[in-house]
Amino acid sequence: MDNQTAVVGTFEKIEEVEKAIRRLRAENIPINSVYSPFHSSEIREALGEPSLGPGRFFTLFGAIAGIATGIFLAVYTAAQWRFIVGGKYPIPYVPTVIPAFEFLILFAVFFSLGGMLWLNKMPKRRLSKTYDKRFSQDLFGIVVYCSASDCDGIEARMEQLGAREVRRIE
Amino acid sequence: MQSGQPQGLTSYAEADLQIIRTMWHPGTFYWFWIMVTGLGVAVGAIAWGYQIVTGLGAANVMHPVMWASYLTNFVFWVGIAHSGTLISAILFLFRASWRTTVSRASEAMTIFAVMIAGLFPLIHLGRVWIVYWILPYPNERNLWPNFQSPLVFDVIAISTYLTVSFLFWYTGMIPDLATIRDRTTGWRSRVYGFLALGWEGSNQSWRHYGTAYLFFAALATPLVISVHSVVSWDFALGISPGWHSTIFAPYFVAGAIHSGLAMVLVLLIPLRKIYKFENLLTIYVFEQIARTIILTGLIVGYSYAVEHFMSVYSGNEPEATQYHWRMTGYYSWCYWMMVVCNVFVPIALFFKKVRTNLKALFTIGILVLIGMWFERLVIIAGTQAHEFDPYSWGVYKYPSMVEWCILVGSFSLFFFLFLLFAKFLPTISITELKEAIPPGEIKG
Repeated sequence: MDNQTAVVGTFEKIEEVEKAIRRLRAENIPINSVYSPFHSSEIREALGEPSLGPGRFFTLFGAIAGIATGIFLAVYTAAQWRFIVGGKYPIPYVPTVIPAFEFLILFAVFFSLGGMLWLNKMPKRRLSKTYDKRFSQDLFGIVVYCSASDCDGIEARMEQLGAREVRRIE
Repeated sequence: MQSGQPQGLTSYAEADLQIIRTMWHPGTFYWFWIMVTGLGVAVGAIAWGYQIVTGLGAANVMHPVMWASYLTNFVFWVGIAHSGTLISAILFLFRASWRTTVSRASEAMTIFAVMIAGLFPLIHLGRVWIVYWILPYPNERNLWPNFQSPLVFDVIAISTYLTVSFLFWYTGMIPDLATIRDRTTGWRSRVYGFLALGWEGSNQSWRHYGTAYLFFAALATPLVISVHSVVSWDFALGISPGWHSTIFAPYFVAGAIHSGLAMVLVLLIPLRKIYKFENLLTIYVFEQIARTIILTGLIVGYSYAVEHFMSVYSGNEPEATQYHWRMTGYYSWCYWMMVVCNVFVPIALFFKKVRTNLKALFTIGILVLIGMWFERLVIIAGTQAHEFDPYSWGVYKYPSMVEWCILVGSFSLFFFLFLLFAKFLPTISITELKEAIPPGEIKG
């Protein structure tokens, strides 16, 4: 990979980081990551990201798998027992709604969580080199990967945009 | 300014420090209550052990009232569990600002309450070691649980609710655990780092997290409604007078939220005082909870009235007799206690002076909890004591010493677990708190 060096600009205020993202994107400087201590729709909008991630497909798959499991369990167990009362068919359909519904919720939640962990490559033992402990506390960080020739310019641009600190990470 | 937003925070670091400092030095008051509740847990455990050794005769459970205080406690605790998810999920979807500072503690309340509720069917079972028979697994007799039974619905619903509530709570806490990891050193940093699963808070992480959390909330919302509906069907699917009613599901859900909100008041008012969270748990937040209690109290009152009306208007003699007996019979004082505490006491919350007075709110919270416990007793024991045939009438003569000890043990365990939570985990969501600080108030 050409761009092995990362430039990390650290910002104090959300307005500053939002402005910096918009400027860097306008100048076609590719932003690798933006760290923030909380979920910010301003940052997401500045990055031009959609509000929902691909995790929603995990949820959908889990929900379908859950309904199928719930119905299967109820129907299968009734078929095993064959407790015929009054000549009625041994598999009742109405009561399958409850296990189907509960398993829908359960599996959808499992898959949502699993999807989030998988997409975020979690759990992980080592944090990224570009990560700074202050990013979970009170600072924001913009990470840009660059080639050796571009890094100086990007560092200077981050400083112009109000970065409190700019670091280069090899 | 009246709002649910945190007051007086001028930096994100302040939000971190205000929450995290409560975890390291809780003070002597805290340790005193840990001891008291720990003692209560021991009392409950000994009583349960005694019952296991001597049999269910140690409880006053006998024909015709086979479901007595243990099932009352079960339904009561499931009800308590409801507001946590209501606050965290439904208010999240509606973007209610006052949710921010109360959601974490309410979610914790939910989990502990469901755990305790789950203990009561085991206690009631007597032979607790064969509880696994209820689980759907292929045993040697090829005898499966009956999925047409509301009791099996209940097992599925409650275990789903516990699992989903726990995952919702834990997922919401991951970014906070990362904050604590980064603000500590040594073994604390390692433990919280392990629990934070390597969270970094990049834009990609937040996006996937936001998607998952939104779906968690969207899935938990119908779950809240379904769980207590299923609990109500334990009764409503039986043909007993006083139980066999289509109103039971919404009536139980409203009652559950009513009692859960009362418990939120009872937990958060002392928490605010002990942890000096006056700037976070503002009066406005409590006022909003009080307003919601007015709503649930009115629904519960309406349900009580409609039940009685239906019993008379339907011309169903056993049903009408049952409701008349509730008002005038053996459990009539419990019935009137329930009506007064659940319906009339919350009417006081229509007055702003009461809604904004924490002592009054705390008292009303306690009274509603008492009222809701009696409601469960009246419904469960009352119906079994006075069914169709006069020759099988009989009463449950209130809890035995073992039952009282187990009840005390359950409350002690609940508060004990909540105190442990308050010591080791952030009681208010740190990241949501930072999100709620208006950017203009942040000083560089």
